[in-house]
Amino acid sequence: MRVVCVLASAVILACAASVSAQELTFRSIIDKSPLDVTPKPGEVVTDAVNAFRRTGQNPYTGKADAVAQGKKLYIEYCESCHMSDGSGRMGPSLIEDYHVYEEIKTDAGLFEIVFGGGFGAMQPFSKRLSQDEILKVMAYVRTLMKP
Amino acid sequence: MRGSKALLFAAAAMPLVAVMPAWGQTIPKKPEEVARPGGKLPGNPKLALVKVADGLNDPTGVSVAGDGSGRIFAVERVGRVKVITPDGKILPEPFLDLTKTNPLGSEVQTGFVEQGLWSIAFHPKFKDNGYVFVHYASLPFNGASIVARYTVDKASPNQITKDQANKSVKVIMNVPQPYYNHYGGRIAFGPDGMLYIGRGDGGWEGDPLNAGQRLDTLLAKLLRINVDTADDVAYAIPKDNPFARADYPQMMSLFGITEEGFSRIKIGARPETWAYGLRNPYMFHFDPKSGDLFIADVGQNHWEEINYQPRSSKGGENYGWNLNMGTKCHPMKGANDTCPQVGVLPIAEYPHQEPYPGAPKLTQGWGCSAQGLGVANYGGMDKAYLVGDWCSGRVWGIEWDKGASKWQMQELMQAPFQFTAGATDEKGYVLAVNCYCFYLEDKGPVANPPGALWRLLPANEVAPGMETAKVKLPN
Repeated sequence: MRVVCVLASAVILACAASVSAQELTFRSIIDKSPLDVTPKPGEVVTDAVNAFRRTGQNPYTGKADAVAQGKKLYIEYCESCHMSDGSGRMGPSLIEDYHVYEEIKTDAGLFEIVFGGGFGAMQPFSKRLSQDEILKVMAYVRTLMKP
Repeated sequence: MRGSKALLFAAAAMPLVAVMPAWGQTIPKKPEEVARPGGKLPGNPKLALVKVADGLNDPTGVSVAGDGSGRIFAVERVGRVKVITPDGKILPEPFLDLTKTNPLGSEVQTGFVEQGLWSIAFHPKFKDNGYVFVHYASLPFNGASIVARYTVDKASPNQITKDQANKSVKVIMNVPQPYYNHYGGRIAFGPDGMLYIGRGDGGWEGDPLNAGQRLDTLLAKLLRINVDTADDVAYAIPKDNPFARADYPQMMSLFGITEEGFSRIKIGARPETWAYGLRNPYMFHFDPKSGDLFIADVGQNHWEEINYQPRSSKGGENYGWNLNMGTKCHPMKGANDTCPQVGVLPIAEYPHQEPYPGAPKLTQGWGCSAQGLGVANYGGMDKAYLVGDWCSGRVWGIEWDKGASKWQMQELMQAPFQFTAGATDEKGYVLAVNCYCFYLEDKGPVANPPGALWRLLPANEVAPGMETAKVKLPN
């Protein structure tokens, strides 16, 4: 077992003990307990998911096809709360400088929020989406955010 | 007066004056007297959410029979009521299944997430008469809200079979619904034995029908009816309802009547009205100890409000919608709006993340939809109304602070799910249910991830083996 730390903007945003030699541990943003990323029955673990679990970087970021698929999922699952432009209404804004969860700034943190859920209506989308779909939604959300 | 003999013409003039009940609570007369997040309850309670049962489809309500059985009844939006036994088991056969009583299809309209079965209430003499009452959006009646009574067969205490349901059903009320949202939902018997019905303004947004301030509609009201009538009479108007005689046929007299006397004449006023000016009173609760009433009125874009009536209330309160929301103006245009304060102020209010149009986003103390859970008299709480927020997962406590002579509102925890409803169990603990049924993510009332039933226990009463929700406690 070894410790893997993800560094971004010179701030330690995720620092986790990995069970396998390669994979990061993702943690609940509620209480920092480990999230169970075991695939659901029948869920296909794509290359992108495998790569993400090792690096904490979303391979779909900037990839047009994945972003387009992510947009469809965003419209179905996210838009009602966060609005089509991510400005938020019943759910918080995704595109302003202030974030409810600072973890949103890294891909690993954004995954932890979407997969594991936050407080209130930010439900764990692990109950509804595959991990590959979550990465695609994340790639689309990044296109909404200010550079 | 709730729990007293009839008072004709009671409170037909709006009770703008503060009421001074026993125990010292006053209803705020000025906006600055209304509690907001950041206060401290006198007992500074520490609570935990303990799981009672899991695997409920879009639970929208919860109730107990009050018959000493310890059973909990969870309402599923699709049209079913499930029995949870005292050891936390969900009985496989529904207590009542309105998806099966009509051979042509469900009785319940669930097309929009605010539609469905919302509530079950047990008659105060349920143990003797077996009467239960439900409130739901009707499919056959194009979304109208229906209050209906069913009778439990004593030989089958945990299931009202299809035959028994159809044999015993009595429709109490059918209120047409103009739009698909803002129904209200909860029904409950008050300490006076009357049935109270939380009825929303009928929907869209902004109350386009002006239902809040109109007395000639059952929308945007807390209704109060007497259901102890002959089987061929749907319900009766309690004689002490505030508008019971406001539209009563009478001869016209122009002289010798005071102006106050004239003001009691409200042509078209619906006598079922107990209180009005409510936007969407989905949850309201009576304190099992004092009989006082709390109403969580779901707000629109910027503020949520919690109202309070002492048991001595004579009814007729106007809570201001659609002219005010909480202490604020409606429609809200900016931070410094000015407008008349209409009717009775809430005891507490809390903002959305954007408290007024264009406001900087709040980082603390916000929510989006107030779901009352129940009145707590334990764990250091003395008549504290617990309110769960649908967006932020925050649980607020609202309680009168005798020492400071004001209402306090404190965030007690933040939970990782949406609260939809609550009630007190037979021991007085507050129960809560959560669902994953949020507008566009709604995949239908049996296709969303299942929700759960929780009990709000004092943290020091959590025993080993109990499953608790991961929550964030305030610093």
